[in-house]
Amino acid sequence: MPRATNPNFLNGVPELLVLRLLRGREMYGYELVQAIREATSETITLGEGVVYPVLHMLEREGALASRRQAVAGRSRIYYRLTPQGERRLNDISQSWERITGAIRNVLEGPRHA
Amino acid sequence: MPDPLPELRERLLRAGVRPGAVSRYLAELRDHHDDLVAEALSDGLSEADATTRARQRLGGIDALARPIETDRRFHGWAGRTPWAVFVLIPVLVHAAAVVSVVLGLIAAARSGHAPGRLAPLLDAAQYLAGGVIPILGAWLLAVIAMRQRSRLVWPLAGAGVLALLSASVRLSLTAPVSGQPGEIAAGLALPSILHVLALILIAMLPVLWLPATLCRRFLAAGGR
Repeated sequence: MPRATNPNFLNGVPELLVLRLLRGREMYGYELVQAIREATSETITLGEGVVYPVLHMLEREGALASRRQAVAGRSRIYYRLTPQGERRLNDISQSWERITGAIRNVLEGPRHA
Repeated sequence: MPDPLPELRERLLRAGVRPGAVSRYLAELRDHHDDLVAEALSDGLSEADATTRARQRLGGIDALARPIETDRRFHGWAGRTPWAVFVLIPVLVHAAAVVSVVLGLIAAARSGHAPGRLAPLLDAAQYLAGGVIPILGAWLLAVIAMRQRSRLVWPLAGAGVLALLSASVRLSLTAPVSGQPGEIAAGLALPSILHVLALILIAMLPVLWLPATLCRRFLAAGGR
């Protein structure tokens, strides 16, 4: 039986952050990027525009839903998590915890009795 | 630091990204940029410094383009399979239109029109199948190609095939007379070169009215 691999674990970071931050609260792109900056104490800094392809891809796959709202003469697009997005977030979170746990074990070095 | 969004639009369209996806992405980037400028101004920066900082935080053209360029899910059919959009589908639509025209003629013949009134209907059907439909089709292909920055060869190929096909279609109608059944025939014959050239010339007429900038952009498209 082939081993399951996780080649996208680094690529999945923006997706994980977006899904987690949109859980329970809808946000538009700029607001979401500021939330990422705050939540990660600016450890993770992306070109801020890069968040939109992630949002659009997640929306296309049904993990997010969006609505337009006119605010101060501008049309903002607000994103929120769908039930499918909740399931996806749970799956990605579990994978991420397994991976970070495994890396932590490596960094801590072999334990001797 | 120049505004990167117009260049980003051209790059994404030439990469085959759907125009709707490009427009939405750019609208959100524009709003995000404006929010960043407002934030920088409220931090006390000058207008010029605020714009520079906003553009740096938004990301460079490569960083903004690559995720969408490389993800085929954002690409339109004209980008992924131009041969289907510009050649195969027009041929199928033209065939369906000819069949509809023939069915229309059959319906008209069955409805008991006098034979003298069927002749103009046949002329109209010939005119539709051999002229109006391919010209409208070629114009539509040109619009699609311009919107999606497709290579010029694709709409030209589509228009050429449509012109050849429609110049080859032959319709004939024999009206039913005193109990004798009538006959409607549709077939293909060797096209007249003059007919083909006339169709291609008429199909290209709107290009004369296009703004020069749009023509240059269209002719410059060469990625796909």
